[in-house]
Amino acid sequence: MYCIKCGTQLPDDAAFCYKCGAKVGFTSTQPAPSASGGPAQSVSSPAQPVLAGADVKELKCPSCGAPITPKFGEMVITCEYCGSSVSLSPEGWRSIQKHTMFLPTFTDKDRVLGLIHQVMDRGIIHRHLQESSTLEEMSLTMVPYWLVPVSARTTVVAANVAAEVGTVAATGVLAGILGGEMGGRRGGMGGGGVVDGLLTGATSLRLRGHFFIMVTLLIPLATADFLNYALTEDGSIFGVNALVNNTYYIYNASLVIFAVAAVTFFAVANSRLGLVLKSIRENEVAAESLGINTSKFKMVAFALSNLFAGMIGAVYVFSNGVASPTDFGLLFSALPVFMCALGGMGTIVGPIIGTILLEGSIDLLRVNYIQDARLLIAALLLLLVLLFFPKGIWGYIKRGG
Amino acid sequence: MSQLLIVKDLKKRFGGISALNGVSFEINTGEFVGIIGPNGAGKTTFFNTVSGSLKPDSGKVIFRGVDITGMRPSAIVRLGLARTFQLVKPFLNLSVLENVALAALSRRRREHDGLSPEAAALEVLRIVGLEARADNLASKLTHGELKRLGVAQGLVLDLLLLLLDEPFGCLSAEEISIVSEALRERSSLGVSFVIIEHRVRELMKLVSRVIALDQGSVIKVGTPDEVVNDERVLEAFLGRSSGIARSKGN
Repeated sequence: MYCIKCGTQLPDDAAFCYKCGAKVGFTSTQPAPSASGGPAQSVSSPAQPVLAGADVKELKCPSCGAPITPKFGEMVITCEYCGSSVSLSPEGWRSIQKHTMFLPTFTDKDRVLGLIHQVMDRGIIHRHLQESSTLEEMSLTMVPYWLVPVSARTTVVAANVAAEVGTVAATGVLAGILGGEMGGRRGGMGGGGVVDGLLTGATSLRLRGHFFIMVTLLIPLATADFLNYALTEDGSIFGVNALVNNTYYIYNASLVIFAVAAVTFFAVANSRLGLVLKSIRENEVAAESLGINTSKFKMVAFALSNLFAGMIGAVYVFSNGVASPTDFGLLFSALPVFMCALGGMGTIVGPIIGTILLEGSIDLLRVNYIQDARLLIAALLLLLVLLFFPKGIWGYIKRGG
Repeated sequence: MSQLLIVKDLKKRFGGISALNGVSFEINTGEFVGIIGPNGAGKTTFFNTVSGSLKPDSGKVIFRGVDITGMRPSAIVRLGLARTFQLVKPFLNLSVLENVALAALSRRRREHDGLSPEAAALEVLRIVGLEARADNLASKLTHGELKRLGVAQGLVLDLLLLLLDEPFGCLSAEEISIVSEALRERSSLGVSFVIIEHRVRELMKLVSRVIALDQGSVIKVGTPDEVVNDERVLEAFLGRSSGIARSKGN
């Protein structure tokens, strides 16, 4: 048969033209495409299980007969014509990309008890159950996850969150450009990042000096806590599909971003924009009185540094495989500040020196006894550097030379 | 002469202290006005509220017909009104040229003549006699040179009204004449000045009108001669019981 609209030759039992989408054949019994997806709707021809083997290139939707082209190994696919989501055969299970067990985000018994109490308080059977209950036994079950390629649209909340995070990780670079980043100079984690970047910018721009640093540290922490809470509420933990499995590429991508960032910052520092930013660093009141809109240029500086933080954050998410709010804990947020202070604030070479030194020695801090106290140690060192060595290593070398 | 700046009933309190208690007056285009008053009279607060560093509690500031009350200092500068500081605030780790070029970025007529900020900065440095120091760090300047740098920053903005807070403080007689000459030259080009200055003799040579402030209020406006000989002004400066004030006032 042929399409009545565009004349394309179609299979005899086709319900839709695969080129122009026009209904053909016995369309009167065909239900309207449902936007919400949902289970496959009944059709004149009985739905058959469809196999997506390695050699299969094109299939017919069991619901409406439109051609669907699953990517290799996909298990669930949504038909673009009728909106039905189709589960493909167990063949798909062969192409599991990665299986993993996500460690629970809680770290000790008290935290687990807290979570249990929280659930009981909200009430599965009745509210405030925890008041009249005693905990007799606790056991830990690790639930494995399988990551499989899927191109489906559905309204299940958990899946939506997962889809969102997947998209968000891929657009981490964009998030960085929008000035959205978790303030911890590592971020680019997405929707929350954009909001957080603006939040951080808007609330902290009026503050100066050390208060500014403190607020830029605190806001990501608050955001991380909030996200942690919001996400564990859903009970959903998610992974990010590896963009490339070769760490060599990840390394190279990081190196390229680093080089671009270094060159960009050198160029900015020697431009008029750099002059304006330096004047704001020196004396904000004086800069404002010379006609420089300091809030605007501070926002520019913020967006510029977040651009690269967001870019490297996207790479980080892919190399880590998981995007989690716990990535933005105090240590991770405070370390970049320490790196800058150690190497020399207000310079470009300084933070590079600081990063090499700290990244190189951070493993030392992972030694048994020191592990728990490493934040304390880092904070002490930071304090000492700020008090007795305020110019940092590079600042010292530059002054000497 | 048209009115360049109109200040209407400006009030500002700091806690229980009333720094400005309803100050009103006008500045005309091209005018040279001095502000005198004892310490705490509200002179610097007046500058701060007019230039946007402080928001007044009430009252209006109208510049070139635009209500600038509560606007950002940088926005007010671009309209052509700026102030210098009693304590100079240059960027010590930048060169003298960079200091002035920064201000030149906001020059009012930058779009018109297309002069680069650096070129404009050099020109002004020549006027205040700091040309030779252009490439020095500002931290290497003497105090007098820093004052002149502050004046240069004010001049390069190409303003219509410049508020100078004690431009002569700590300057030698020679330096005062350099700065005065620079100001007069600008004034002949239609720039107006309001100057706070304790060195009344040097001030009176420069200005055509003097406003005397005391305890947040205007107590006298007039020519330098009128103000200097006004009884209330002398009382404010020297105290009510002062015999000198009486004899001079009479």
